[in-house]
Amino acid sequence: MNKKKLKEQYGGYMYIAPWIIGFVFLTMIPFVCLIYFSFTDYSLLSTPQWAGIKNYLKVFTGDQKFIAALKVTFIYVLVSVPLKLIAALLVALLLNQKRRGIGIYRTLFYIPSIIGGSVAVAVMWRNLFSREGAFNALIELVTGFHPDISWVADPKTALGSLILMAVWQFGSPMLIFLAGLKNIPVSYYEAATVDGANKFQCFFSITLPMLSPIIFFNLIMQMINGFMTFTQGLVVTNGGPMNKTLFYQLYVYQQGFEDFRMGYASALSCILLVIVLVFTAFAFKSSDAWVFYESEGKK
Amino acid sequence: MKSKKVISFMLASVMTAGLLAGCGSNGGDSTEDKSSSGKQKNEKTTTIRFGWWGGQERADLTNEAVKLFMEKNPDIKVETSFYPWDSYFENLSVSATSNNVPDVYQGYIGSGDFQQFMDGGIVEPLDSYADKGLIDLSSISENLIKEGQVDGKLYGLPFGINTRAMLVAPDMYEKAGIKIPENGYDSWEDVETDLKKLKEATGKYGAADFLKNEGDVFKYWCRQKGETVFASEGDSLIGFSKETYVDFYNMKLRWADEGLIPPYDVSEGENGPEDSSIVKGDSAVNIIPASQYGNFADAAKKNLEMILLPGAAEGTATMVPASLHLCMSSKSDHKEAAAKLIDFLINDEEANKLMKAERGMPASDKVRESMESTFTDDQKKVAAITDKAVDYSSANDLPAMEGTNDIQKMLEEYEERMMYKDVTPEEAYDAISAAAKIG
Repeated sequence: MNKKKLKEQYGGYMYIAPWIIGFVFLTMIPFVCLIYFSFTDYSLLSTPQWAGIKNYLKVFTGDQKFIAALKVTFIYVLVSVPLKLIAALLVALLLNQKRRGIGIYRTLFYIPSIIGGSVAVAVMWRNLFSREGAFNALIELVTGFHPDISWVADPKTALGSLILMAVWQFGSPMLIFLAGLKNIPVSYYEAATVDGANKFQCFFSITLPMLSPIIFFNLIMQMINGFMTFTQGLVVTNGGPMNKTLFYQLYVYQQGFEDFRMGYASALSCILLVIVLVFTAFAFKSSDAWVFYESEGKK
Repeated sequence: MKSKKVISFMLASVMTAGLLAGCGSNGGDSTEDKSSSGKQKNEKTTTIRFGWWGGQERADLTNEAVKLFMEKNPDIKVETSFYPWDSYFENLSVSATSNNVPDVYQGYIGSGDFQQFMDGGIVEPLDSYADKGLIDLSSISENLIKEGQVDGKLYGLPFGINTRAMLVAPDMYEKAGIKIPENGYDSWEDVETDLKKLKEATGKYGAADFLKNEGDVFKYWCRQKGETVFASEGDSLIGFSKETYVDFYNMKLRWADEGLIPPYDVSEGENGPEDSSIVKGDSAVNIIPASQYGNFADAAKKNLEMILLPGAAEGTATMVPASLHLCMSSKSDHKEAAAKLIDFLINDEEANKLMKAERGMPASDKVRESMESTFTDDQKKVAAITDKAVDYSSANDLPAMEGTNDIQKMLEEYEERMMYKDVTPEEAYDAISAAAKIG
């Protein structure tokens, strides 16, 4: 009996074998190494030396940049994620119509999110928002006044320009919302209109609750991505000016690869892992209150 | 049913093979050469690896020279690779983890960035190979040899020498009605006076912002005061006093406030000669490494001249140091072959002709003389200013002590903060000197 079952599942195992190999060697093992390194002094040029919890102590007692990086990353996540989701939802609503050429608009809105994470776009963004960039030229065209400010280099606005860049890439959560919207049975809306509900009531009583699992999904994914932001911080502003865009992952990179303190960088990474875990767990816990599953059978 | 299993197995194995092939070769970029394991099956040829930083042009020229080496040494095969400057040290450190450091590589003895590699012990002392006659040091000046030494041991050979020169735009000087001082300005105050007039001539700025730690202008300033940026001994990692530091940065702040130099973020955003304010006609003065003269002159498409640094003719603060060093990896399996390559690159006249002095004037006096006839007009100007600078120069600062990498970072961080008016120069100095205390 067992042998027969094994033969049947043989194909399945073969299919997932590449993924399992990749997972073990490219994720699991480096992950275990990460935890190990966080308890060592490792300068890349010599072998790791065991150091106990020294790295963690150093992080929590007086590492100014750690606090700055946390602040930057939290502000970034707490501002860009809601804005991104709201933009995605609004545009998805707009695109949920059967008009001619709606497909083209959909593609146009989606494109920023696929090219967004690339270095080329980050470099372009930096040029657009620099002192002599196109953005300032546009403002001058519209208002006749040339702002003498570089949006990516001024300490007050640098993070803002990166948040804008994140929100600009709302295309991928938008598509997911769109799919969710199309899944809501039209009969609900018809019934509601018959009962005399207006557009707003429809939205809040039907659309939002039906979409809530998708909102939940997008929230988790965008939040995790937000915490892991790195490329934009490195390429557009390199953590500057004055560490106002020092994303946490960028700080880890600096410590590990520029200052050759791999042990310390590993400790920082582990701390970020815990933070993201906590946030995700919190989101899951809270989902019981506001996420509505049609089947009423959660997980 | 059986064929279905076979197909699914084959599909999965193809995917696995694709996955493994993707993560196959050893780390680090390589050029047209395929990756190899370092030791050849044919035990008559040894294979060594040579890595450097630079752009495509430098790579093409260097590969030509390497080809010549392989022709002259048929039993040695050299695999080359190159990296962009900003990530060079990161790439080198990653290669160190996987025990993949090139046998011969570019470094910079005495820089904060390279200090890590010295501390990590991956640089091999070259004295034994010089003694054995594998490396010929006879036509390299004493000053240059001393520069590559730490604690009496020679760790790197100069792969090109360079000096900082003041670049000026004669057309702007004419417009402002002032003369270019033939032997450089006598003092920084004189520079400031002229900058005010030049600012009106260009309509934008007087000079590019060259008052930085990066680019060694701060180093030159310290040397003029008889101090050094990093100390080679003593109870502090830094060798400059509060007054020196505060005067320098107060000058920079003053020039920025008066609009004599571009705002900080504009200067930081400049990307190479084409982008610089002097090329764009927005300023009339800059301080550049002399070897970059050709790049600036070509980009500007107008006549640019080089003069000595302010106050150079009054003392010996000028430096004509190695622009970079050639080092050997202490983990190399073929040290003698590596030594031969180093000797070839530094001393062989043909090789240096092929490399066209792109890294700076050749360090070997013999080679420099033999190349004089092949220099372009730009290179002749570079050679001229270099020779002039040598007359007023003294040896480079002694190597810094262990742990200066962090202070280097602090210097740059505080420079930024001062320009954004986040700290005063006095506060910055206090913080840096506190961090630089040993013990």
